[in-house]
Amino acid sequence: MQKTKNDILLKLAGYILTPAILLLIWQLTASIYNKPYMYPTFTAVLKQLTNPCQDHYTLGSLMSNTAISLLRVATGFIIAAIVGISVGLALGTSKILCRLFEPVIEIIRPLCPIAWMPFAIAIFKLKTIPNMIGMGYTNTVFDQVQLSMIFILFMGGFFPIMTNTLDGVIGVRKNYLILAQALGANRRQQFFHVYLPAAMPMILTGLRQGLGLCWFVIIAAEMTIGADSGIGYMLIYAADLSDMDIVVAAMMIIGTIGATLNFAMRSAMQTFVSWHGKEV
Amino acid sequence: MQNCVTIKNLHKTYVTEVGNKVKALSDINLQIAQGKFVTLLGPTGCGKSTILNTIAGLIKQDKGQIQLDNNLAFGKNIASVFQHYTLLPWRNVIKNVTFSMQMQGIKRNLRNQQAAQLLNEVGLDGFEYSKIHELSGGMRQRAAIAQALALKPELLLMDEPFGALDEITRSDLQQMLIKLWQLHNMTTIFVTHSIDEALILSDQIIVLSGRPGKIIKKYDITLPRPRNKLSKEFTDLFIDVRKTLSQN
Repeated sequence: MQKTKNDILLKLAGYILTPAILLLIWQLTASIYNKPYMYPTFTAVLKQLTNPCQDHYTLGSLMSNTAISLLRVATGFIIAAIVGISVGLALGTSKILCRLFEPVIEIIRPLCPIAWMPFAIAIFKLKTIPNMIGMGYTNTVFDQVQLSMIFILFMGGFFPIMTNTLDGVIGVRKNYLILAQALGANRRQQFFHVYLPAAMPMILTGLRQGLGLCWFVIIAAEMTIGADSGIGYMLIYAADLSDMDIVVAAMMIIGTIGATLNFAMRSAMQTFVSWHGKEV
Repeated sequence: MQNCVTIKNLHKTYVTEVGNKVKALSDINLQIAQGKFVTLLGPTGCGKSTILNTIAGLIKQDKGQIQLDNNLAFGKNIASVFQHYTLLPWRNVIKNVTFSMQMQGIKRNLRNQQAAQLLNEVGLDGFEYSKIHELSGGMRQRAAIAQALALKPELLLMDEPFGALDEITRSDLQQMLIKLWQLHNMTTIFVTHSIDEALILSDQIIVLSGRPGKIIKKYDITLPRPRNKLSKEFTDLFIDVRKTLSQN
């Protein structure tokens, strides 16, 4: 009993006390240093964070640029998830396809998604989703979702999702397939009732890694060529003007969103595949 | 009486990964009459599981024939219960029991109704929605038996289903199995290396030698059920079987 009580206190301290002390050190050192264009105080950053809808440099606000980045990630990630899971399942259940494509995939996979950026811009120019479906300029946030961004997000998300799905399918115990056969499952039923559920923990692991990587990739992409919006772009733009309070505010937003996405995916895993990792 | 399974001159040799040949079965001849409870008894590695898997069609024999009673087919009316991997861990108890019915396209209401009946028969009332990892080893095997019975099998293949259980649970499940076997009127082929278990359950015991597996003796057990392990007839038989096994 005493032990669990201590544990709760420790957890609470980890969530509140440690961050509070770090923030205090930050605030004190920044005040003493007193060069806000290099090392902003916590209160200066907090002022930006508490006014998230304020426009900066007519580029939009922290909020609107975060929304743009999230929308880009959502689009790229969903496409990467659909294609990644499908390809992983196909390669995992067909030895022929796996033999034919695995070497090529293994060569493309280690390439940093950002390295695709110049190529993606050369191919897609600055086309957006509304352009692609022939709608021109729609005056909505969708005008900020460039095909080149989606392409590199796809490159970032596809590989972890695909390879984890593939490993999941390959790792399905033969015993479960025999059991399903014994109970009269045909090949199609084995796919839907054994391969798919048995691979689900790995598929979700892949999605979690893929989503995390997509969030990394979009920030980096927005800081490189061809970007004119997004939270990453706002960060680099503010840095050029030495507005470090906005830079650090953007960093904190990026970090918090990354942690939230990871936490959401982990909870999804605990909910959907609670059987995973338990002795049977 | 009609034979349910007839095995003629069955041979099987395995080739290991490093290329060694291991002779598992040598010239097995066996006739299993319909409705009987037959046990294959022998030391570990004598090929008793191989016989079972060949009957199921999961392993191909090198030589010899297996004749099944017409209309018997694995995945249809041949059911099996193994020692491990008997249930799908991502499904709860009732979804495991109804798996075969779901594959056949039987409506959910009907299959749940039948599963409730089967779970009652194996003593798992109230555990319909339990997850597999929440069940004890004995309860898992009960669920596995209900899952197998859902196929309405004419032939039940059991490969050391109680091998991982403690003595008391094992004894309970043996009694339950005998009742279910009588109730459902199915031919049962049971693999074990426990003489005790074989004597408690079987109409017939096929004793196999160590590798390569050969049939060394067949016992017809006519003792009335439920059998008393402490009766003189039982213990005499036990000693006899033990002698047969140790001579080979």
